[in-house]
Amino acid sequence: MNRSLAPEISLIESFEYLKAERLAQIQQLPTFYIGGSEEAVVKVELLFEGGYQYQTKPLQASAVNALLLEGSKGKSAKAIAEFFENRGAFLDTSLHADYVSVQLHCLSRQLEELLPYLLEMLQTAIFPEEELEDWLHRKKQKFAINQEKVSYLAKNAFVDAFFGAGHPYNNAVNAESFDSLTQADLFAFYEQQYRKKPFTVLLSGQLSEAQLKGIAQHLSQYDFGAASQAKLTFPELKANKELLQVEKAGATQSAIKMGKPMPNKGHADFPALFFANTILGGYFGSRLMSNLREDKGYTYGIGSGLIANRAMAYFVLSTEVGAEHTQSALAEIEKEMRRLAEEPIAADELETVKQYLQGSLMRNFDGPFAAMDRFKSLYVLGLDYAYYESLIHDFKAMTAERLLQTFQQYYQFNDLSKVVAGKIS
Amino acid sequence: MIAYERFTLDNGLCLLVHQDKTTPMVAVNLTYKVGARDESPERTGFAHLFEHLMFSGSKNIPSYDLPLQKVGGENNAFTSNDITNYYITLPKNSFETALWLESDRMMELAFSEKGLEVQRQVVIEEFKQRYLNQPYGDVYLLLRPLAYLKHPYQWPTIGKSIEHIETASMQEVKDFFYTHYRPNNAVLTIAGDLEPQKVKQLVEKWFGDIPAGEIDRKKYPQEEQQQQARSLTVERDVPLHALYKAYHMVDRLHADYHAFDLISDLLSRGNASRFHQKLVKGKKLFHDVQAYIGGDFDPGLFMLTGHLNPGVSMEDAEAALEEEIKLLQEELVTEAELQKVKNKVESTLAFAKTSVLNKAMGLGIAEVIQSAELVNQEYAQYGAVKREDLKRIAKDYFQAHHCSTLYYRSKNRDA
Repeated sequence: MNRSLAPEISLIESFEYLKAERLAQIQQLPTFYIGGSEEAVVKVELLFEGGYQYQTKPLQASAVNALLLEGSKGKSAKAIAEFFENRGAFLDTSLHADYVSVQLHCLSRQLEELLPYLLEMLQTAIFPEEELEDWLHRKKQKFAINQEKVSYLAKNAFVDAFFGAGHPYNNAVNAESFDSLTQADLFAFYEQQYRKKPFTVLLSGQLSEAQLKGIAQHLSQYDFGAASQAKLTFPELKANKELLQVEKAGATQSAIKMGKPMPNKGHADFPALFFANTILGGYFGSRLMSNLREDKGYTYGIGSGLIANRAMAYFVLSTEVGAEHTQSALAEIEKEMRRLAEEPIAADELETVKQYLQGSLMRNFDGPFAAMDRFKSLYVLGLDYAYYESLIHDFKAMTAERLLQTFQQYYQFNDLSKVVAGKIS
Repeated sequence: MIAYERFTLDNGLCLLVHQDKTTPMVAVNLTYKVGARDESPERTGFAHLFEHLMFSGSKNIPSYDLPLQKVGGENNAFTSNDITNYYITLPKNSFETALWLESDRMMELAFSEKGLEVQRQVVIEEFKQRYLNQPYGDVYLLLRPLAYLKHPYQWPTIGKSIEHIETASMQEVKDFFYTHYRPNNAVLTIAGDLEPQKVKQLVEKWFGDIPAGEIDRKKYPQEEQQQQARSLTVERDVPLHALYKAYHMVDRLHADYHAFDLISDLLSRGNASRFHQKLVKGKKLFHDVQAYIGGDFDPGLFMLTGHLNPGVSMEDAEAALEEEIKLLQEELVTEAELQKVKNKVESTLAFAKTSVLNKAMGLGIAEVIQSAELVNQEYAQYGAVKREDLKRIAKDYFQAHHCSTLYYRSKNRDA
């Protein structure tokens, strides 16, 4: 046996993935289901239009999202927590730029009891004054702790500089953000984005026909008409090409963050942009990891990605490097980006990334919960499965020439806004 | 119930196969019975540094990651005080590639000087990123040597200090490899839509000719029972005071292990928990406060940790934690409260079984602890815990003289 030769295997040409199915019997609220779990568990996700892009002052969306579970008409925060926890269920919320997600994980047999309770409570939130004060207080302390982290300093400064004042996607906070939020702000946002507004229901895991029917019956009571959202304006971003530095005395590492706007998912160039990002900083074997970690040992990790929101997408690159390596790290990042715009990638690397991406897609669709996450990422952007079809197709057809042109057009180091947080002087 | 078949190769490698026909992916999990507790006190952090070196090429394969990425695979690893665990997920067609890669690095590493130098630097940056350049990052560097005077749990997996990593030599790397990275010191677990007999054949093909090693089943210096309260006070540039209380608890196979876990859930898991309701919401003493156990194989620590709200003194915060302990010692918890934490365990265990990688990892690590069968007994073991057990444990174990306390003070705080 020759151990230096890889075993011969048949590479996968295509794969079937689990697709979400819209439950036709529910006309009012869009409700989707992916079954196939062998365990009798279910995840329910409710999507509301409560993303931070709609807020009129810092932390408004975040506070509403956090306090949704902290009291409803006739139900204290404690009673709500006990109701779910006694039944072994887990309730969480998460805030995104465009939407809010409320997630319930539970045993399938508990859903019949939990879902009506959850839906009612979300329509009758009361945002108690003392819970708000408490939350702001805690959030402010968390902010103080975060001020000690270079990664947080870099991220907050980057978001602020990149989007600029007044941009709906600018969710940077400062010490003053915690002082002006009132209960009235919360009610206003809640009335505008949540209460009696249509929401989407995503169900994944294992539910019987009878259970699905019961859910359908219950959901049919909620008829909020069609969605109508205020149209926000998203100003064109001006690239901030000066390196922005945030001083953190005594830091042993510097956090680096950079990025630029990019065409969004659904744009014809997006698959190539995604492929190119993978090569640059999107997987362990990427150019940046290979150079800055595996060759030079400047960092424990470096990565880049494309963030797609409804109104725009952007590229972002982050790392934390030894303070003494800050300048060299910046130079190496620039060098790697320049190389990719000048030299076409070799056939072998192209093939590796193709296979890697195909494997990632399979992994990311594996099982009903993962497959529903994939569906959600399309759905919130108003896309459908055609996006994945074109992604899979374009990945397969990708060429070194197309990538070269993509790097030249979209990935120029000089076009990036850049922030460094750490020991500067 | 996670079904599996167990095979043992002639060289002592233990193979577990779990068939899951619902997924196109295969999980390959390889657990080596070596962790930070196996290190010499003069060379701490070595098991973890070694984990990094395992990715710097083997005898016949210059790069570990590249061929794996070429077949759509992904991998990672972690080191604990007890084990080092490597895991891969990849499409089932290419599953043999994982065996090729894992067997070659079990056979012999490349031992390249460049690999050692680079990974040394990477680990030093990891040390800074996670332990030094983070608020409260050095807590376990301080607390472990306070709680353990003899047992090697007295240092964290990253090591006692950066110097130990800076001075590790190639000879030590080689010795470590041949002492611990042998087939008879490992458990290989494979889960996916595969025929167990076919898996066995392929594993024999790739791992069968790796020579067994002489494994020194080391007896770890056991900690003597702590008879006096210990404490350490430090001052740091952090915004909030923090308090860490560590009580010695039982080992992983002790009949009371699951009861300790349930006590920690009862105290702090979820917003309905005692700590959240009373100490965060009610008395508003803590910004956040947790109880947890580490899952160590040898007797570990039952931890109470919290960040204090501004204006709250260490004394008041500590008294409140002790009051909660006293309550456990004096009053039986209600059936309803115990049932609540058991219900949470039930759904957590059920969700854990929905991932093929989780299943493989759970089986493999259980086999290292004692037997893969442990994963199927877990639910019943939690279920068997009684209210009286919690009270008895609180009385026996949560005594001031069994506790080590770290007072982590904020330099900047006014109060």
